[in-house]
Amino acid sequence: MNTRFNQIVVIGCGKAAKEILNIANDFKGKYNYELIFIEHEIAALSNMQNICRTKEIQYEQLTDRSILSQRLLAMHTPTLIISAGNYYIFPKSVIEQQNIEIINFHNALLPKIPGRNATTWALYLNEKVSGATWHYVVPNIDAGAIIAQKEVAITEDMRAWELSKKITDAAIELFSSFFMQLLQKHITGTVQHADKTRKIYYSHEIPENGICSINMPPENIYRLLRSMDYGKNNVFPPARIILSDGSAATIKNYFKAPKEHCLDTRCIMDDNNQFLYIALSDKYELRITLKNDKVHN
Amino acid sequence: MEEKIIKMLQEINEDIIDYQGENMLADDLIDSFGIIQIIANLEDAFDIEIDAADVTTENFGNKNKIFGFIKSLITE
Repeated sequence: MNTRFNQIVVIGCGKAAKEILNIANDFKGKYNYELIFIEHEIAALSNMQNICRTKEIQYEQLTDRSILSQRLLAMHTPTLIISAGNYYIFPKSVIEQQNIEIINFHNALLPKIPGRNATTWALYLNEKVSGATWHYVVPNIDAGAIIAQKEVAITEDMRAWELSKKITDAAIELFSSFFMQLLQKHITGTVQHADKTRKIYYSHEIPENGICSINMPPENIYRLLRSMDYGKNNVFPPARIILSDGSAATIKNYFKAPKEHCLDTRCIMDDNNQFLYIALSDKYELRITLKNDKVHN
Repeated sequence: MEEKIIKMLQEINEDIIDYQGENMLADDLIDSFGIIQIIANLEDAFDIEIDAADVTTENFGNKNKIFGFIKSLITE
């Protein structure tokens, strides 16, 4: 079969990169292209090097941005770069190279929520729907024409990692649906009509700076905690809460449970200042375990 | 304890129970989200806190490694 590309490069980490690489590898024989995997950020428990070794895929670990840029600029053959779970921002010189086409998986429904940690912001902004977007990479962040999108519903108690998993699954399914077509001809895509003043989220930004107050509406506290919850992947520093005496403590963990401690009160703290219970509704309360690091502001 | 953990692992992938290898992530029986899910469930079920630094193949490579690791946390 004919393809427009002699070479396909997958850049990224995590499940998205792994599954996209598997799909690209499945078509390698049929379309006869070279396949390269570049690991720029190495996720905890990453097994990409082993996978590449087993499947005889060329593997390159390029954690230095400038070395990675030089490597891409040195590619002179028709190349498709697939960015999935990737935090390297492609420089203009790479994007504008004639022989290179770049597509990226973004974890929100563009043009909404461009930039980093889109899953967090979708939850924090109380969106009811988010999703996966595949788009062409252009010099402006997440602004290229949209190739495909798939919605994912945001459910009531969803945490960031749970939404992230569903969006990743949607992205993988979407990629399978257009990849063969993309190999053969350029997909025009839908131009994004984004407001020029649209907010782009950067990696240093955290909702509410990661600090909630006991005086906030309980559902907002719960939503903030869920929006920052990536399990053991420390995407953000641990959230903190300002207590009624003005002191602040780090939140160790939290969960929603049937009401037991807040039957007649909005919130209650145990005698050791270790557990905080906040009424969420008629039926539920939020149980928060605090670290022993209370400081007065 | 082991029964509870087996149930959690079965929810993710039944094949994990019979897996005899050393690294179920490398062998594609579980993905990174599955590991997050297991940890969240273990913390809730056994009222423990698992340190991010302990999320290694030595502690999460197969079901027996998880049994041993959780046992060590509970008896600490």
